Amino acid sequence: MTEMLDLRGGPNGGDAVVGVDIGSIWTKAVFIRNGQVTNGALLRTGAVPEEAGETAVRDLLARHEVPRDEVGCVVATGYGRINLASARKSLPEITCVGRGAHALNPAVRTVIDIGGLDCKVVGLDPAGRALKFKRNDKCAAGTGRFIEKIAKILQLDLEQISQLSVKASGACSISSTCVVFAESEVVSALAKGFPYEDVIAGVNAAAAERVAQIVERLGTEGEVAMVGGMAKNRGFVAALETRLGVRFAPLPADPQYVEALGAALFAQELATGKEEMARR
Amino acid sequence: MADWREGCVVGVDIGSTTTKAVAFSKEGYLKGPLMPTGAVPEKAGRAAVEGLATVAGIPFEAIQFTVATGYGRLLASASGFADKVISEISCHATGAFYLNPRTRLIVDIGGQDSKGIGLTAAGVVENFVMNDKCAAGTGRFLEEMAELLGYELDEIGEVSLRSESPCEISSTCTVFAETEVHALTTARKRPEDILAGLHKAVAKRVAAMVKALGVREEAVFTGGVSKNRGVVKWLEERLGMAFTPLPDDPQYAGALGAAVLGFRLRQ
Repeated sequence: MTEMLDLRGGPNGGDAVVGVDIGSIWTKAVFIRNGQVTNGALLRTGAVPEEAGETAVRDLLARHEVPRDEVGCVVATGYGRINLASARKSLPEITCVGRGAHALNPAVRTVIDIGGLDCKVVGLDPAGRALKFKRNDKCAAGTGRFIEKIAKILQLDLEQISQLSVKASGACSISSTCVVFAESEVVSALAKGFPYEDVIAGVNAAAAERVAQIVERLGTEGEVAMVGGMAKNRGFVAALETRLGVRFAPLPADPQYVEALGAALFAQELATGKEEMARR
Repeated sequence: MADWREGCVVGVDIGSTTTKAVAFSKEGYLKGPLMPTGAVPEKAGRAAVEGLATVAGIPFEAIQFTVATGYGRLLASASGFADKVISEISCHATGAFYLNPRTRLIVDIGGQDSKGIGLTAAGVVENFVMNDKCAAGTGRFLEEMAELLGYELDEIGEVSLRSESPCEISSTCTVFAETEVHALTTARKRPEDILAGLHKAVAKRVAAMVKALGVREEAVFTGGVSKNRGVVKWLEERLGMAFTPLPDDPQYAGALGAAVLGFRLRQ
């Protein structure tokens, strides 16, 4: 998957750089060469995060036949970013997601980033720097894990969940916030004969409610964008838009790679000696 | 002997996991069999009262007044077999105080909730805290973990007490704790050490909640989880005090309280 980004004003040409986002569940890598951004190497993080990070970098470069010595700089982010031997620097997710979202759509001032095990809401300044954030990492409600758990009960994959979620004729109400209690509600809703799509819509609405409470604690400004794996669950995105009363700003990229993109952009600055952004 | 049953009042506590019924009169009280609540709480409530009637040797129809409490109490009332509904807080307070009139603090951990209730010297509810929104610090947390590790729910407390170096469980959330347990299992940690860590996590969560009420003596521990000696041990450690043992099954305190309150209403 190759996407062209307008990186005029940024350094063009020269070395290739890599950003790698070692998330709690998925590891993603992005590389930039000659102003061209390439996503790739989506793999499970597993028990040894630094191994997943190295594999992601190696696979991405191998697939595009880029020799290792042409890579000017690797920047790591994500929950497993520490201890990645090949990374020159590791940066917090909040910093990278702001940078990535800003590069994709400079009007964005609020980023909602929902990954496997956490949910972050980040407020950005006009230059894409993170000014403030709220994070939920204590409770699985409103994270990707919630949907994963329900998918397991329904024996569906996440793509099927996304497809079904937009076909609901009416949501089956799931009142629990807690994932464990919601699982019981889902089982009993299925026993009562609710169709899968309505149950999924109910789960998405419950997860959206939880996320909306975090968003409201921070407050939104300007354009709001949603990134992270959960942004691929179309029913969830629609439920959250409805709950918040906003339309999310379009981002011309795969939402799961935005943090890795941000890391790659910082890598580019580091490689070309233009370090002021990355140093913060 | 037949006389005590005349004018006796029944209390039924339809919990999220188990249902308990107690008959009460001025002569004393009688407990019925413990029933699983299952998917239809009002049915479980009725079955528990029928079971109690059998134990008491009276026909179900002879029971003139039934008070329902617990998670399924409104369904019991709607389905017509309960005459009155009283909140869990009042019933637990009354039941525990009846069993021990020196009770000033009740910690109750049930299948899907946990609560703390502070009482005055007269047994009146002074303050309370309750968690029924999150599975952490409830029986459900322990149930999930027992299943994950391949144990029966009623044995994990004993197993946890065999631990000499409990594992650290940093997650509050049940779902995240499961992930931690997977990692600990992969790292070949001993089951008793993992279980001890999990029991300590429950104790930590409940103690934090109860401490907001002010820890005071005498304190009693009720609900199904009070039978888990691991939770008892680490909760006592966290609260810095020992629970006073109740003279009867602590799982029936809510149902007993419902019956006592119903009996007083009828006087």
